[in-house]
Amino acid sequence: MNKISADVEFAIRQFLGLEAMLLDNGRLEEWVGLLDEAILYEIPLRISARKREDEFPRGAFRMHEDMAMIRKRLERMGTAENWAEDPASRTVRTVGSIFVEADEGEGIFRVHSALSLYRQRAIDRAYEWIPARRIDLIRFGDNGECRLVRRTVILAETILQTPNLAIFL
Amino acid sequence: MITDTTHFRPGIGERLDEILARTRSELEKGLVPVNIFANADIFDAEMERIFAKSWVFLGFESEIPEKGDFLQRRIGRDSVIVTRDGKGEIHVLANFCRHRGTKLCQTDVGNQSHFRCPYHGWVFKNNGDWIGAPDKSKAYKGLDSKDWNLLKAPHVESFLGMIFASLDPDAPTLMDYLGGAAWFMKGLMDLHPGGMSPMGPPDRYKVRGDWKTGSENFGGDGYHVGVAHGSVQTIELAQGFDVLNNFSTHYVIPGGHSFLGHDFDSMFGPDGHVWYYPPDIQQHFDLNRLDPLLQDVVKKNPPIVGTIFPNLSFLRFFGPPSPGKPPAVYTSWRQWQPSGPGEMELWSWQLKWNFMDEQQAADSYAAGQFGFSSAGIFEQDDTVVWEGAPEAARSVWARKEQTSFNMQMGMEGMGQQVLDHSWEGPGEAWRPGPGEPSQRAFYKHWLSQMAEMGE
Repeated sequence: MNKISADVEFAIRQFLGLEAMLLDNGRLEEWVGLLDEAILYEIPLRISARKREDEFPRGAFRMHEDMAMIRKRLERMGTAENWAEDPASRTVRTVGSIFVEADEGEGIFRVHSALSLYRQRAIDRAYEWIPARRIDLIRFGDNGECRLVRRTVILAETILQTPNLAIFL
Repeated sequence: MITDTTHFRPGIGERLDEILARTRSELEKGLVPVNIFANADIFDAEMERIFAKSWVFLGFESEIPEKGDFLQRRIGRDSVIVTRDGKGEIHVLANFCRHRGTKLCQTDVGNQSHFRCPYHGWVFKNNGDWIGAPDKSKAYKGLDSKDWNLLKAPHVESFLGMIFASLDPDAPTLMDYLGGAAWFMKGLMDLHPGGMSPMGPPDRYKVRGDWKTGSENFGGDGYHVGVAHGSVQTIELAQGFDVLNNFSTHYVIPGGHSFLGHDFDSMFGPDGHVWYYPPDIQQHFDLNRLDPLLQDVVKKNPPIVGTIFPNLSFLRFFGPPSPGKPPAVYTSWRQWQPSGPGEMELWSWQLKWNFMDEQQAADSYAAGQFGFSSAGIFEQDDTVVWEGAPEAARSVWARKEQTSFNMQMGMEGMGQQVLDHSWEGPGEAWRPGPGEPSQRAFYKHWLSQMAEMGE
């Protein structure tokens, strides 16, 4: 494993901060611009099990999406019939505990972060909190720009307390 | 789960029996009082009179294939353990120690030959039998162990690999309970001798809607599709929403069950046969396993949704695994788990045909998940529109005005729907849509169960 340079770590931190700002501000087209065309965005199903390795049954997901699916979601959000997000949730996400774990080669880094997402839907009622860890593969390009290649969202909850995942994590 | 139910107490002067009496008179007119959707007395009565009495779905046999496997599941709000014992038999046990009530099983799944209580150490076999405790000879020499077994559901039966239990000692057999619904279930699940099984544990999420709304919607609400799910047609991931109701049949089965069929050939052309399954899947089906009338239904009017009373529904529809790819057919069994007045958890399993290869199964899973899951582009809109009924039920104004919701669609004088007197299958067939005979029948059966023990 190569040493993680300060330049890389700084660029990745800036990238995650930019991403969080775009998502919280509903600038989704710009956010999609930060995704690699080969993006895999996945949220595995989690269950309560004695052994940690049994918490994620193989092949079971809440989301498992490629770029075409993500773009379709954006298209749907652009219709006048997006009832799940009408109006869009007000979200504030805190991304922290950032750890650039490994250089996977070809400029791709494995990055861990914790996400604490406050979501308030529609009118002022009970808020929802979505806590998760994320394991990202982020490409640090020759031009110094980062792109998200893969995101695996590990939800803390086995039974999701927010009624839908109509927002990106 | 809601533990503080003070917000859900009935309003001044409202009594359970009064609400039920009013529901009876309103249902005659095709109306349903708002009160029944978020009321603690109604909810408590539902737990006792419906969930502790009906045959309730618990999971699939293939989720516990090995001896010792277990699942933690629910009957109403009760936590139960579904076990496969050393002989391969399936048991449904109350998930608490008989000594002091400590929860025996804290995980969703596992494999154990016995359950040892973490409090004082009473031990139970996975068939529920009391088998020991620490210092037994000094502490419990005179204990009659058979009086201290875990509570065991008196009736546990499977049908098509699906496990059901009833807590009512006087329950009819599962087949008698399902009645005509079993016939339709065979049409869905028995097209191949290998059967179907879930591709993983259920996707679970909390919805601030009443469990009855899920059951009633999947029992036959074709009318909401074009509006609530209109976006999916707008972005060209589905078609035919505008004409859907003209090609629908409501199959209404005694016992509160119902199925919503659609004439796929008329909607989607000759490839619509048998739920639009593509040839590489359809070639495996042996329709001769079904009687001629059921074959006809499966080919020409297959149900895309349906509900088994009280809280089990299914969905079979098609969509692309990813936009641009050819459509795959997906099947989901889903359960509306009551968690409190006006609140539920939605549990959804996605199923594959056991003959499917890995790619076919993955495509079906992806297509189903994209449409119907906690992130599904259909389902996420349901989770929001269903929040309304409980909120209306909590409205003082709504109750003061004795407000009812409307389920009159398709009744005489309302529209084009008529009872098909030529129908020779189970129950009744009402065609075409739009109509709400399934919803009315669901609430009538709900009322009959609520009132039976309550007066």
